[in-house]
Amino acid sequence: MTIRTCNIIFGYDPRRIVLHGVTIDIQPGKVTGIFGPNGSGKSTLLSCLNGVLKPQSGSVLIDDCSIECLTHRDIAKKIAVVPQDLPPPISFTVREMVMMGRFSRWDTWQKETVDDHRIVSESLARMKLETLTNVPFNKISGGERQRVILARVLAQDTPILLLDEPSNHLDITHQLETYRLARSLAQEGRTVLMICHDLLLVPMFTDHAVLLKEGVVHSEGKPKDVLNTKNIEQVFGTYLELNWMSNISLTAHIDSACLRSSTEEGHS
Amino acid sequence: MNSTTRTCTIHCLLIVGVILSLLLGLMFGSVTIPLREIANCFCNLICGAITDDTTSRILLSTRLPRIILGASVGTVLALSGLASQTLFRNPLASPSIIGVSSGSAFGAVLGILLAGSAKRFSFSLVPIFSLAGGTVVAIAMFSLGRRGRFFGQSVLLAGIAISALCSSLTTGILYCAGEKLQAIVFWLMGGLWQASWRDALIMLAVAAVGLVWLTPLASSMNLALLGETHAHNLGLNLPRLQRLLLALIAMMVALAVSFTGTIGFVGLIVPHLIRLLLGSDIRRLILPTAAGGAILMLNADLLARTLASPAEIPVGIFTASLGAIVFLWFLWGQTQHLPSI
Repeated sequence: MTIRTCNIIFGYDPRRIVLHGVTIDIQPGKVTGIFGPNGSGKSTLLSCLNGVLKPQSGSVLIDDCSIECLTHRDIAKKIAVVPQDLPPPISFTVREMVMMGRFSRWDTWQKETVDDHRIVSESLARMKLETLTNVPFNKISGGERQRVILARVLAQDTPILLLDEPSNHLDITHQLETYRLARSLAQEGRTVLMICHDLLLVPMFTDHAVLLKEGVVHSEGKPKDVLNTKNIEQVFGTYLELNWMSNISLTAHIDSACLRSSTEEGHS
Repeated sequence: MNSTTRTCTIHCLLIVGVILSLLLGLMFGSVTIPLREIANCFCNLICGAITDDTTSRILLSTRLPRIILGASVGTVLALSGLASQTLFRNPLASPSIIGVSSGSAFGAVLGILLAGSAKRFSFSLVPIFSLAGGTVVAIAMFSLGRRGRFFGQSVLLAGIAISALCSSLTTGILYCAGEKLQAIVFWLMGGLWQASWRDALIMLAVAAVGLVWLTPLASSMNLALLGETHAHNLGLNLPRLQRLLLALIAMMVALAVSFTGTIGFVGLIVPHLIRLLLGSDIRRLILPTAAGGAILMLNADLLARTLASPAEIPVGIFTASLGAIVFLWFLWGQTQHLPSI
């Protein structure tokens, strides 16, 4: 399933427009990464993609069908989202939280089916949460909560996945595992969109990169081409040189002046 | 004990509790009627034998409507508490905090004040005014909720403000009430002493509507607790759910208040008690909350009419104190799971 936006303009209030006409085309079978500095409109764009926010103009199309024609349930059957923020610490168990991913498939009086239970167990296993199944959500750590939300997204079993900083709160092992998960979901033929601040790790796991600056697409294409020193300096205003040795590893050079000044600040 | 057996045990205990409370309510009062006579009376009723002795008159025209009204009002208040805590995602929310019951109370007090000047309608003036008061408050909350995109803290605060406004208006009426002051104050304290068959059957229907209305909404209510973004992402039309819940709360509370006055604390405490026992999943909470509300209300009413018999103590005193004592006792034992949503 492809998801496209067509020249969307959105502002939380009319005097402060966040997205100034964004057109992107996200293809299935690939991991698309959206990069950009704080406040460049990444999360706003993602909220427009699944209809949480309604753009003032422009449209969002899922396989050429406008999102406005779909009900909440229909959207949730097609698009699963890891939002930027965790839900409040409520006392549902981990399993109950993951089971909520199946909500869009239930009718009014319908109860959880054997199938639902199987998918939930698989999702829990995939995120290595089996030991926490019956622990309340408010009694586990931030990183574990993030993995519960990832498991819930897996249980939702949708063709499109939108991940807003899915590696929030996660240690390095789980970060890498999350990126690998995104890759394997794309290999299954799903459409995966990921927002990340990590310019060192994430580019290795993305097939297509979109660089956002102040609500417009600055550049897009292969991560190797998009995330070059010139673009990063233009968009982020920081000197960062990424050396792409191969597809699977890269080294980074940071402006040495920046390092020096930070150590001096530390000493003074 | 695994969770399924635990859930079953608690359900059974609650059912036994409701039955016991109903029986106690039939047996005790200004006169004590032994179980055997109650059974006799009901046997006669079923067989169609008309008996017109004092016992059956007390049972059938005084105590039976009263316990039905009590159980229904308890159910209705507890369910509307559960619904409002979910609607506002706030453990402190209850129908009396969000203004609906103060609105109904103001309407009813106005009704009592005007009842004298319009004798012809006086019997129905109080419920109608009360319903109108509750509905006006609910509509005000509706439109406030519509102005903001979602229900949240601001609407809850607005509800508290509306509640304060209605209470001050009620106090204003009390100041001008003159000879009706005592009637109004006694009514405000809440009680079941006026129970008639008509009231009892209407409230029973309201309780049934509440149960049937809430049960299919339970899994949506679970999602609503996650907040607007998560709920939307999972496929819930949150504004629609909020409208349904608010309409239900307004209908249930306004009717309950119009028949029995403001009875506090049932809506706040019962959902928390049941949550402490059974966890947060609302699909498992609706029936037990209804049963818990009925039990608390029936026993509070039993105390209210027996302790100082033949006089009656306002039942609100006992719902609050019984509820608070049981709740604190539970909290004492539970260091692990403090109440939350």
